[in-house]
This record gives sequence, C-alpha cells and structure tokens, in this order.
Amino acid sequence: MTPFFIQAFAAINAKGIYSRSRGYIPWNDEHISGPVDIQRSQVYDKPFTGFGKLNCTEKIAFGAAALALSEVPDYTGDSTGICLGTVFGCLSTDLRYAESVVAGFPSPAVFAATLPSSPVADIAILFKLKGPDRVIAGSACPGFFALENAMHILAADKADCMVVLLVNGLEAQDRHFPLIDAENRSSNYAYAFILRRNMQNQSITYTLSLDFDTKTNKSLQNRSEESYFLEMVEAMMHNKNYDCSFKCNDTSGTLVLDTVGKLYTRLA
Amino acid sequence: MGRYVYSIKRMDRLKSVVLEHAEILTPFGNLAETIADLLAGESAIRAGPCFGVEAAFASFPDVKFRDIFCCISYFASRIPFPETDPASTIFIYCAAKGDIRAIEDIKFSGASTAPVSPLLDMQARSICESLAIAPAKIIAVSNACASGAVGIETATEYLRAGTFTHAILFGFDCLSRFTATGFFSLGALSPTGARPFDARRSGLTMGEGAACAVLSFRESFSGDIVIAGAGSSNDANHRTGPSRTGDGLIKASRAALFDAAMSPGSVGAVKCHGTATPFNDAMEAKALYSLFGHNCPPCVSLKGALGHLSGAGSLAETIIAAECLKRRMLPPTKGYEQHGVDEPVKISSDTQRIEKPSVLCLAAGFSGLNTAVVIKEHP
Repeated sequence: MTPFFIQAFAAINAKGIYSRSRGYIPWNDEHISGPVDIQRSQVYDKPFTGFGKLNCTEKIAFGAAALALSEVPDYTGDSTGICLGTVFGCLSTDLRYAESVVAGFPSPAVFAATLPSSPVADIAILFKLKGPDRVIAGSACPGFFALENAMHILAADKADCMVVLLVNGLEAQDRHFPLIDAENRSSNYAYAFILRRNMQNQSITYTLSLDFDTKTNKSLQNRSEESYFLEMVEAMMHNKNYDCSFKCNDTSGTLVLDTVGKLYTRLA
Repeated sequence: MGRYVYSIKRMDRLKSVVLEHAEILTPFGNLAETIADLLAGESAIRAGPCFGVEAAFASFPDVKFRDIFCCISYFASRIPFPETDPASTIFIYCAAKGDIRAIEDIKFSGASTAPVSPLLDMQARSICESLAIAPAKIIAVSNACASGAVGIETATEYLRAGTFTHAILFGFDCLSRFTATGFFSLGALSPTGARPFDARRSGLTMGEGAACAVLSFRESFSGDIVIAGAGSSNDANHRTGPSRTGDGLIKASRAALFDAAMSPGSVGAVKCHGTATPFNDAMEAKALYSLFGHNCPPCVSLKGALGHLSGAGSLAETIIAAECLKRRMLPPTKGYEQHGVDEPVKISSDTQRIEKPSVLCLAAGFSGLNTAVVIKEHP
C-alpha cells in the first residue's frame, strides 16, 4: 500500500482557526463568534473584494484552502486540483434564492452559487488551480471520500497536488429545514489538506494511508466525520502521529497519519 | 470483516471499463426513442412559457418523470442490475440539483414536508433502497453540468483501482421554477430555442433528463463500448462563464486522450457540450481547433434537439454517443444552419458518418469545470 503525503493543513471550526504557520487561534472576539463571521484578513493576506459576498460555505471553504495553500509556495497551479466533500452543500443558498423568487426578485448572483460545487470557483480562480476537480455531495463520509478520490487522481498522475476539503456551511435559521437530519450533523466547519504523491522538501510532512472496510465494522460506534478530522488536525498541530479506526454512517475504515521518517506499510 | 486496499499502478491492463447496460429518459423518451428522433432530425424543444419564464424548453413526454422514483421504477424494469456480491459494487449518483421538490414544495407551495430530501446523498440512498440494491459504497458527485461525466470518470478510477467490479451510475435533473427563474435571471436562455454553433445562437434551452448506466471492469470483447479514458480541469477564470481561450477544455480533452492512450488523430467524432450560448460555443470551437486543427472529426451538439439536461445531461449524452458509435452515425445538430464560430469545426445540420471507432465526449459546468470522456468500440 502506497502512502500519500500531507504537506499542509488548516481548519476553521466552532473552536477557532488552525494552521501550522499561525497556530491555533480561538474565537474570542465578540463580533467574530464562529466560522460564518470569519473576516478575509484572518485567512488571506491579499485583496479579495468579493470575500464578503461569499455564502457561508464558500467563505469557510475559501478560508481553509487559503490558509493551507499559504504554506505551500511550491505548488504548480496547472497541476493542482480540488477535491471537496460537503454534507449540506449549498442548501442555505438554495433557500435564500428560493426566498428571492418568492419575493419577486430572483437574484442571479445567488442563483449562480446554488450548486454544491460553487466553493471551488473562487479557490480555483484566486489560486489559479487548473487541475481536476471533484465534489462529493453528502455520502456517508464525504471528507474521507474526498481524500480517497484525491488519492485516485494523484495515483493516476492526473495531478501533482490536490487541495482536499471537507466543508459544511449551514445558516442557523436553516437547521430546522425538513428532511436533512441536521440534528445528527454538525455544521460550519472546513478542513483543508494539501495532498501530494511525492514528499516535498518540507521540515514537517505527514504520510497518510487510508483504507475502507468492505463490510461495516460492527464493533465500532458511529461518530461524526468532523470529530475524526478534528483529532487529526490537533495531532498534526502537535506533530504527533494519528491512527484511527473510523465509522461514520455505517461506513468504516482506518486512517494512519505518520510524521515523515516513519513510513507506514501494511499488507494488502 | 474484509478490507480493500488499492495500490497505485496495480491496474489490470488486460481489463477495460465496459458499458454493460444503459437507459435514459429525455424529452424524446427512452434511449431507443431518443436515438430514432435525433437521427431523424427531430426536436423536442417547445415554445415557452416554462414555469412563467418566457423561454423555450424541452420537457419529459410525461411530467410524472419529474418524480425521481418514477424514473427509478422505469429503469429498474429495463436494466438488469448486476447480481454480484454487493461488496463489489459502487453506486454513483450524478446531479447538479437532483430532485428539487423539497425546496419547491416547502418554499414555493408552503408545504411542511416533501417526498424526498434536498440533500443529494439522502436521495442517493433512497434510490438504492428503491432499486433494492445494497452497494458497498454510495457516492453523490455534483460538479454542476459536468456531473455525469465526472461520475463516469470517478467510476472508472474506482474500477481500475480494483476495489469494485461494477459501478452503477444514476443521473437526474429536472425542470423546475427554481432553475427556470435562475437561468432566466442570468440572461442565459434563448427565447426561441438553442442553436448550437449557429450565427444566430442566443442562449441555452433548459431540458430535463435521467440516465442509468452499469459499468463493469472486465476483459472486453468485440462490439463492447469501453470507457477508454477521462480527464478534468478547471478554467480558473470565472464563476459562471467559460474561459475565452478554451484552455480548460483543451486540457481536459488532452488528459482524457492521454488516459485512453490515444492521439487526437484517432478520434472518430466529438460529442460537444454545445450549449448554444455565445461564449460557450466560441470557446469550444477554439478548443476543438486547438486539438484537431484542420482535421476536425465530425462534431455534434445534442442540445439543439434535447435541450440542456443539466447534471444528468453529460451522462445521458455519453450514453447517446455510445449508441451513435455503434451505428457509426452522428445525428444532425438541430438548430445549426449558418456557421457561427470562427474555427472550422465540423458541425452539420445533417447526419455524419463516424469513420473511426471512438467518440470524445465533452462537458463543462459552472465554477470553471471541464470534463472529457473517451469512449471506444472494441474491434
């Protein structure tokens, strides 16, 4: 089994902002109480006048991707793609657009963002990422599936580098919308990883190996996917290894994250 | 408890991704009806209004198919799903919006609930329950109007990795007040109907469609249609408009041809994205000229006859392209009368013969997405 390498990471969640370069920054400003209030200056140093017009999902996806990419100066845009996993997709934007239709003024700007793939647009445009993109909307564990699909793309030599995102944005007023099982799914977070086939010259890089079970591991309890990603990011913040057997919505597997120098092999 | 692990480059090169079975539902009807009408030069586009919007549109022959479960029942009666170990099957749902009744019923009609969730993953699980299948993995891919093509690329990667032997793809997108008002507000709709690559083209025509395909990874035999390669890219240019240079589509096409170990000269035909918007067709013509130069193979856009089937469209259109490949005949590009792009793209208002056994299928979507799929007929 061939591992892949995580060259950089970042997270924006209910606790704060995580990145290796900036460290952990908790939410402690009365005006910025969580991911949806995030300001451009907290995540991106260059001008971006459209940041304030992004919807909640696009904003935190962009923020996490920007933080992670800021630590990877050697990526080549032409051969870097994006793999995004999202649970709620663009649901809040769908509802805002529907409200604009009911009000008699359908908004083209809002309609253009009523796609689960809309967060890809600004990330690709501002960072000139012209590689392949894939959006996994929902599924049992969209973040793990996004990692897996990014590995496929890298393994097939379709890209040198993949920005892997697990993103969820849902406005508070929409959590009660029927048929979305919101009470069992946390919202408003973004995790970004820069995944590569080959190790780059970095002081700290992580090897990542990911397996899925062909049959659900019944000995495990289901947990939220975000809880695993948070543990992974916190381990990387402290330069620690992370090894877990995960189970999300009856999909199970194992993930092994090692600091470089300890390449992990496992029999197939 | 089993465990699967894929290895890089462990792909069995004696095997291919084979299109085993497929069925579609379009404004013409099922696959056989659609092919017959396309080859006869018919159009399914009708004058508006469509959900109160003054624009031409193309709708299912029976609007009951706007219920995703009606489409599922129809496909279940016509497609033999693989009777293999469920652990060896992956299900991929491809949609831009999917079944949107939850938004429409609750927000527009004031209902308190709806027959199906607005979330694509929950729709995917409902589809599998309705089909009485229990695949090992269920994934929903949503790459705007390129969703179907990206679904094919995703399935191909999983199959080649050896983790699954079969992939079931299902695509669905339908007309709705939501999308009609949206595209109208963007100024993207033609009032009279799509005219791909024509000098008088004025925008796209919304359509609706569903598609289902079964792919397997096995040794291919004479007459099999094989997914030979696939590739994707991003324009990194604009949220909704395509790159004016066509670079993204060129890159995706070259990636697909490389994946298929083919050169542009061996392509028999091109199934274009061809939405009939001024910018898309101009961009696509540039991309085709860059790929093929003056040796452009026969090209077709199906959207002048079918309308734009949104996310399900690129899956349905690839299935149609496969049927055309078997017949060695491209349908006419309905709505095309006067060449309206700068490059000598081989579009025709008549049928065209396919001389070589392969078709390059192109798709593009909002957020700058471009995807190309190469299908071949095994000799």
